[in-house]
Amino acid sequence: MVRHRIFIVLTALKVAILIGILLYCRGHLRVLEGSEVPAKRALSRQLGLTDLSIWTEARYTRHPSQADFFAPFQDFPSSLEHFPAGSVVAPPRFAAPVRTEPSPE
Amino acid sequence: MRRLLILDYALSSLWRRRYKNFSIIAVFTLTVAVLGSILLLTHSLKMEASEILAGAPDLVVQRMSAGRHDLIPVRYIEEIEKIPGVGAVKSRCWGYYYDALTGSNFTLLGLDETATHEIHLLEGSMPKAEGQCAVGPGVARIRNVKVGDELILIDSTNTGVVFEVVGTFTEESSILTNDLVVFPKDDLVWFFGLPEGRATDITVEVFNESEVSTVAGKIKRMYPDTRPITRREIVQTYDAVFNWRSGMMLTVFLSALIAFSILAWDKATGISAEERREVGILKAIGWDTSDVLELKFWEGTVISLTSFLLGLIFAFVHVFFFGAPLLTPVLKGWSVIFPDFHFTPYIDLYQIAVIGFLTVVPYVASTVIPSWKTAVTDPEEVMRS
Amino acid sequence: MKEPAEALIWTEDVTKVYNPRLPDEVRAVDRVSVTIDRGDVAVLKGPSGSGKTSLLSLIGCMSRPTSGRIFVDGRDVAKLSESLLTAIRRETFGFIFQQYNLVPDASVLENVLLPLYPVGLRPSEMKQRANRILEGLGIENRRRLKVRKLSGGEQQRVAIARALVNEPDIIVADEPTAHLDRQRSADLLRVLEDLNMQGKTIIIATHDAQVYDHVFVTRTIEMGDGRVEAERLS
Repeated sequence: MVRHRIFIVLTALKVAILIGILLYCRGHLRVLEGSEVPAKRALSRQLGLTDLSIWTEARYTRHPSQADFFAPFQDFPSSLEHFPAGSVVAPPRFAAPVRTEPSPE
Repeated sequence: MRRLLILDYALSSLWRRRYKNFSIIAVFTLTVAVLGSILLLTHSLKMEASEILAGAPDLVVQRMSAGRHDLIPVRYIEEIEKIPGVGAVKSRCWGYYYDALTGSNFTLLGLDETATHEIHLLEGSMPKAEGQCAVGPGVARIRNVKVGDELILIDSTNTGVVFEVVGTFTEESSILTNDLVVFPKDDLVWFFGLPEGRATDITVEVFNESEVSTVAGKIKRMYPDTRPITRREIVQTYDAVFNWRSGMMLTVFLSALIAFSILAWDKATGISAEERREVGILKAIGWDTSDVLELKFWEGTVISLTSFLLGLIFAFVHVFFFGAPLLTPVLKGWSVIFPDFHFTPYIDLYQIAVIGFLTVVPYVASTVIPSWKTAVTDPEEVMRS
Repeated sequence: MKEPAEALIWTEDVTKVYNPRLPDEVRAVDRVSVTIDRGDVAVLKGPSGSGKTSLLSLIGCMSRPTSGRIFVDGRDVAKLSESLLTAIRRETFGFIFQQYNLVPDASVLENVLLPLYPVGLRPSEMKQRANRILEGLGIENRRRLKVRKLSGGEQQRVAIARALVNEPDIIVADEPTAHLDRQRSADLLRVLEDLNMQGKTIIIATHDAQVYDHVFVTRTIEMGDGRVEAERLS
């Protein structure tokens, strides 16, 4: 008859650990939001950085938001699939009218 | 009390088949841990991108030539500056450098002196004089340089050029700066051999955010050979990280998930003859149909709740305490230098609730529903077995 | 014949048909009317296939009759809802099955406690009851063992303990001596006799002469082809 007590205690323990992790993460996030996040935002502004430095395997994966639209071997819209990064990030979605239509002038 | 007693019996009945049940919990936990890790990491990365890149230029203007990205004439700046609502307009000089020594790609960035205010997340200083540079943590690591060391790069005439490293960006900034090598702008122009009066692209500050696309349209009309990219588009790019269409990992994982579902379905639904007999016995000695279903409900709940909570704990620890070592290889792809991730713990509680709902509820249902048929049969069958 | 309210169990023209209107239709119980009084030791006697077990399960509220009426302790059980029927089964009857029907991997104690789980007693009281009964049957030192590890006779005792734990008025036993040798059968009958002395009504389906010729039997109902062929009091 003690089995349910063990189960309830274990479950409560897991929930407590989870809440602990969540609270810790929240506290940590607060700290980061007070220091690191603004610093990184400032860095992005000061250096004019437009992308996260994650994929350095090809030039259009290093700056996905600035990628060459018609770079060689790059057949929009699934061109990013050539590199592993393409399996993780989809091609940029630009507001098409601004850039693809020829201007009236 | 009655409820707890039935829970107690459910636990004892699970314990009786502990090898089977522990293996289900193990697989189930792993499934939740992987699914949870992917969602936590993705959310963190997306939030990080939108938070950090809020500092990115309002508008980046590239030039297109013969359908390719081309260097943009600096004189475009003068005309763009005249557009109402436009603030600072600056040329940017940057490019890529393949480092044959290590097989990695660097991003080389030329900086105006005007941009070098006080910079955080930097050890040492920004390059101010000719022949100086600041490097990102990835570059520092792979080339084994620190402040005061020399960095040799090969220029466009195949001549080795020596730069003095005067600053390194800290690890905390690696998600932005990992592969950067920053020079004074003149150095970069000279190093790449860029033609006079040309820049890589132009950044435009727009005072009123709602006018950004209007300004972009005006620039496009003024210079039809340009391509303006708004900050909203930049940030949106990162919303596509791990989206369902392109997330190959999710696709691969999905098949694993389906395999697990089949396993779970089989284990939970395939009431064995033994279990069926047990249900019959319970009915015969005075358990109601609802008691039997409650028993099955508890069995399903114990397994799925335990797995869900354990899996979630693993996912949190994996992503936020260990930097997701099991997932980063997928992110990394063929990249040679790769940031040492410290994921900022942006957490979406709704997402967690969804994981819970998608794992616990179907499992409980697949345990309870199939036992229904057994539970409603006449207990008399037991007497005939 | 007595009125339904006076007898403990009273049936009238009870019929049970399996697979009605199908080629394999079986009329297991055919218009049976019997009466069993409080304190009786009633034996349903007959060859296998004579409808003993079917009648037993009808009386024990395990199945419903196709037609006819069954009164248990003055209540017409043929018309009761499933959950009320379950409640009556739980509160009034203790069953000893031919195959014992124990959960083989659970402990003796757990098997005995099984009928009590849906009742909602306090765990201490549940255990007290079970231990008292196990002591009475002389198997209290076995209570932590898995049922699988017990001998046939011991399993039989566990089954009896389980039938008693709800403190029922009526003990229903289906071929209880089928798997026992003479000596053990005699032991079992002694246990049942004791229970009868304590005021329990006992209903046994059997074709074992050792049982139906026993002196404690008060009522014998002979069955054949689903009908009552003879009924006598002794």
